[in-house]
Amino acid sequence: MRRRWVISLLVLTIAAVAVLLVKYWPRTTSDNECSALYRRYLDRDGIQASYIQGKAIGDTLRVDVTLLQATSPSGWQQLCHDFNIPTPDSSALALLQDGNPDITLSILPPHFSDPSQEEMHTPDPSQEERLSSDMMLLAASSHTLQCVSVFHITTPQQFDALVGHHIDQLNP
Amino acid sequence: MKQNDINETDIELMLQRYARQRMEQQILDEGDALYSHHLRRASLRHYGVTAFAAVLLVVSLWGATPQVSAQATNRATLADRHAAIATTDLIIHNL
Repeated sequence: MRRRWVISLLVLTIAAVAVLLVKYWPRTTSDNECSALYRRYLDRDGIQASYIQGKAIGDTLRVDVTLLQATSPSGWQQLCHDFNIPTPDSSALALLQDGNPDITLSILPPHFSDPSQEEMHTPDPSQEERLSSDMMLLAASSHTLQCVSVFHITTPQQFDALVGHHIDQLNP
Repeated sequence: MKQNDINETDIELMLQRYARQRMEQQILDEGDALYSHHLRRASLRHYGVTAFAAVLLVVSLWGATPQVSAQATNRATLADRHAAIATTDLIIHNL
């Protein structure tokens, strides 16, 4: 009887460990699958770049995210410069003391990820429209967290899930 | 005549002993069968419960949506990955 319990416990433990391993084992994307933005900041000093493929938002939606975190003051200055992040004034800084991170949203131009493409790009309205409708880069920057999170939005549902409630507040 | 009486008594005793032995054996056999049946049922119940628990465990863990499909970081330690996911969660939560 005791042996039976030991076998059962062993089976249950193996099942649990197998599932947890499959679920939480880090799956790594190859560099080719990562965003151009991630590759652009990959080797910058003072900035830690992360590319998160298929981040779950809500129950069914997923979005790709490039996260750029400053690890030094110079890295944060670099990010502020690249993403045109305004420096908050003293009154705004006082408001930030409540512990919640400040988030500034901005929509990046289509060629932001790879500026070299912008120079080569020939002005073609239909092409521009197609590009912008294919993907939108929504940047959320935070002074308190000293990071910029860029969401690679490809569907209106993803946009709604992330910031749709702000639009609803603007248009009651 | 006396000899016959003795023999009849002996035979009667033997028959009684035989009947008792058979009855005891029958009771023992029935007991064994009952015990085996009980053991089989207990074993089935045990493994049934274990299998059900295993299936429930797998389904409940598998059913929970993983946070990300895949991830890449330039300093790809497990702690960095978790920190990046936690920061992204915090930003999404505060949007």
